[in-house]
Amino acid sequence: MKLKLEWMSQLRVAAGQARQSVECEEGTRLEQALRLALEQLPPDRASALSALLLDGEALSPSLLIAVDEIQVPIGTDPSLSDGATLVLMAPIAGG
Amino acid sequence: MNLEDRNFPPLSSKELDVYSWQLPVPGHGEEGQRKLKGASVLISRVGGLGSVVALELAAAGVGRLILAHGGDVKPSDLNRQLLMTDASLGKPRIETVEQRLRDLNPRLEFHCVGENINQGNVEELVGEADIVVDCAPLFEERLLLNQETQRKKKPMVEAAMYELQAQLTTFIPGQTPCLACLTPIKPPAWKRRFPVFGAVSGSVGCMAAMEAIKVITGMGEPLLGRFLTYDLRDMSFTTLKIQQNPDCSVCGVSSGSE
Ligand SMILES: [Zn+2]
Repeated sequence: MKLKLEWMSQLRVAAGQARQSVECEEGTRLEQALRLALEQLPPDRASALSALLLDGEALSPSLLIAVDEIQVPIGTDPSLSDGATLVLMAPIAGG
Repeated sequence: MNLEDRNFPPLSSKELDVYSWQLPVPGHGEEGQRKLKGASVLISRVGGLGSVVALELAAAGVGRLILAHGGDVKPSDLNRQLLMTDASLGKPRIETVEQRLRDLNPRLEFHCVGENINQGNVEELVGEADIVVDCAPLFEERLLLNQETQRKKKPMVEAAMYELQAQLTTFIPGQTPCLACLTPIKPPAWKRRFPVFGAVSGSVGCMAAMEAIKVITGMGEPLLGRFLTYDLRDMSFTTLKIQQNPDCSVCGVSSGSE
């Protein structure tokens, strides 16, 4: 199946692109989809993104993640459907 | 926001004249204008974002502005902090802000504080306000303001920007998530100095002012439980549905806030 991924805020700058599409198996879960997305990127981009996405091994609790425009509760790892759009955002405070 | 039991001040003939282009807006009218006149809004920092919020709220006829911002005007403020002027370089930002807003609307009442939101002033300043607009560049200040608005059950418009992107939502205690639901801890990656164009902070400043106006007057639909994010680089706008975190240390069931 195919997923659409949108990087927001600093993630967009780190990824060097706003949008990415990911091919994966039916029923792939969110965290696995993110790992696949990172593998598609050049190593320097992937490592800059990982620094913003991860808190140790886990996803940072301050990420705002949405699937099809609905926020995914912190600490959950839903399975995804074909055509789903993921939005990922690191918090910003520019005033 | 409960302004219902308040006696709203009447409008003078000058005010009827000044606001004559917004009074006919459906859902607003004289009643809405009197609510604005009777309202106090706290704006935390009046820099790139807060300058524009203050300017729009002063122009719209909000009665009282509570403004907190420390430091003196620097050359590097002038690409975005629209209330600062070249002539005011080296002078306290808050004095320049007050003067510029008085020039626009001499009927405005002010409480201007020449320091940023901190542990020592947050209780008093939030206590005086009907609604807060959060425009600070540091998560420490934002999370402190969030805690106090939740404690005092006051609405808070949350606006922020980065590079050519911006975001906006409105928190109402008991009805929506709070900032700590979304950002439970200060994100280590956030840096004090961020890339910014004034037109980007100004765009979200205008929208944040409109959110405050809608909450005060009851007009329209504020971004409650909805989180607007946009990128002016490609003009893409997305609205996400957000939810309260039941484990939130500030508003969650275990925080004792209910
Ligand atoms: Zn919360």
